[in-house]
Amino acid sequence: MKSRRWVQIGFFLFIAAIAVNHGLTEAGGGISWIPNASLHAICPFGGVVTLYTYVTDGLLIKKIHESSLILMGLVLFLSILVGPAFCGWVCPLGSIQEWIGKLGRKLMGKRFNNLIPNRADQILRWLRYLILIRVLMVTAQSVQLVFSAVDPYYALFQFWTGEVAISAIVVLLVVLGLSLIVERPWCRYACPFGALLGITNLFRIFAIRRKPATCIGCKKCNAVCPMGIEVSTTTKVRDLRCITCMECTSDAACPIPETVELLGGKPNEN
Amino acid sequence: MRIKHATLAVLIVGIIFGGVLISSAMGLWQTESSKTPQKIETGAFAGEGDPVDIRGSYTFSDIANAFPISVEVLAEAFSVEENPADFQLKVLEANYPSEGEVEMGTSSVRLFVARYTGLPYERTGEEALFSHAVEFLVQEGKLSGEEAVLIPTMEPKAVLKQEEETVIEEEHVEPLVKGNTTVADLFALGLSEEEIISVIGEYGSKGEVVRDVCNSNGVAFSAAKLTLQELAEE
Ligand code: SF4
Ligand code: SF4
Repeated sequence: MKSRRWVQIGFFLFIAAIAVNHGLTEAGGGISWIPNASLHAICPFGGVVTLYTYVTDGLLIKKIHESSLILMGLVLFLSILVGPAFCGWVCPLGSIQEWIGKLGRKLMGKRFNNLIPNRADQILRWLRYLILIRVLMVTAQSVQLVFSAVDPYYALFQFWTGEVAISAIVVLLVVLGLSLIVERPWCRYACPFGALLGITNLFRIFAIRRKPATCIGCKKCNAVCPMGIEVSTTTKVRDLRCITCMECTSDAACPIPETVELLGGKPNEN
Repeated sequence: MRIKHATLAVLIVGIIFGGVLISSAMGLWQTESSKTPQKIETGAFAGEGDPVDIRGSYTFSDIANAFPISVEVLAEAFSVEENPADFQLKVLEANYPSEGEVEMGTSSVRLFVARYTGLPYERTGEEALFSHAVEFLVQEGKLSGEEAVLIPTMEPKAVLKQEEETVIEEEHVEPLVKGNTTVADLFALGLSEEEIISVIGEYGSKGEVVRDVCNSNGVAFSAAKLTLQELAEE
C-alpha cells in the first residue's frame, strides 16, 4: 500500500479519536493519553476565518483557538513548499470522499467521474472561490463562526453530539453521496480552504513536472488524477486544483521512470 | 531536487507534528482559550485590559496576570487565606448571599481591581467591598473620600468554603456585544424587543449602534453589554 494511504488513515483515525475523546471528556470520561481538543481548535480553516479579526483587534472568533492559527501557518508553509498536500494527504474529509470514490469507481465503472459535462465542470470549479470570499466576508462582519452551519468537516466528526447544525449534516450526506459518482466533489467545487490552498499551485517551490522527452502519451496520469487535471499536456502543473497527491507521478501511475515527478528548483526541461 | 512519494509522507507528518511540538514547547499551542480579559477599545486606556470583562471563572492569579495587581493584595482585600492564587471569584458569591441589590462577588472584584489600578470602571451600585478594603484604597490614595462613602460594605467571614461544584470550569466566551454591535444584531442574537428596551432604553431604528443608543439614553454601555450578553446566552 502506498504511503499516502497510510498517512490519510493515520490522520483520519487521529482526528476521529480527538473528536470522540473531546466528547467523552465533556461528559466526564475521557482517555488521558489521547489529546483532548475541540475540533474547532484543530481545524486550520478556523485559522483562516479568524485571521481577519486577529489582525484588526486581537480577538479570536468565538470558538476558535490559537492552535488553529498555528495549524493554518503550518499548512500554508507546507503548501508554499509542495502545494496543497494537506488536501491530498491530511484532510479527513478529503480522504473519506476518496474512499467512497473507490467504491463508486467499482459500481459506476466508466461513468464514474464522467457524468459532469466538461463545460459545467469548467464553470463549477470557480464556485469554491466564491464560497471562500463569501465566508471570509460574512465572518469578518459578524465575528461568528458562520461557516460551521454548513461545514461537513465538523459534521463528520461531531454528528453524534447534537451540536451540529442540521444543514451541515445534510451537506455532509450530499457530499458523501456525490462521491459515488465523481471523485472528491467537495474539494473540486465547494471547499473554501482547498480554494485558498489551491492558489499556492501558482508559485509552490516543488511542482509536479512532466518530461515530454520521455513521455509516451499513454495518458495514465490524467486517468488517475482525483481532481481531473490533464497532466499529459503540461510540463508543469499549475492548475489551482492540484492537491499533490502524487498519483500521477512515476512513483505511481506513470509507467516511465523519472517522467512525472515532484521537482523543485530549476526545471530540467529538455 | 526531487521529492519521492515516501519522502513527501515524512515531510508532511514532520511539518505538522513537528510544528505542533515546537509551538507547544514554546508555550504557543493553546487549544483552550486563555483567560485574558478583553482590551479597552478607545480612550486614554486603549489597549489595557478591561476590568468589566473579569469573569467569575477567573482566579486571583488570572487577574494578577492580566492586570498590574498582585495576588497578595487581592487576597488581603477579599480576605482569602487559603491558597489565594487558585481562588475563583465565583466562590465569593457562593459564600456571601447578596443583600438586596448589593453583592459581594465578581463585580466587587471588578471594582476593586479598577480602583486599585486606576483603570476606568463605572459602578453599577451593586458592588460591595469589605470595609477594610475600602479603607486600604483610600489610604493608598486610590479612592476619593466622596466615592468611598457611596460603596456599600460588608464584613468578611472567618473561613471561606471553596465548594466542589462552584469550581467547575466555565468556558470563556468572547463577547457577543461589542462597540459596533447594532440593535439589529441583538435581534439576530435572539433577544426580544422588550428585553432590548429594558436594558438600553428606547431606540430610533434597528440600524442604530447599541453604544450610541446607550449614550443618548444615559445608560452605561459597559454594564449594558454584559447584561445583553447574559440575556443572549440564555
Ligand atoms: S502517465 Fe507518464 S507517460 Fe503516460 S501520458 Fe502521463 S506523463 Fe506521459
Ligand atoms: S494526480 Fe497529480 S496533478 Fe492530479 S492532483 Fe494529484 S498530484 Fe496533482
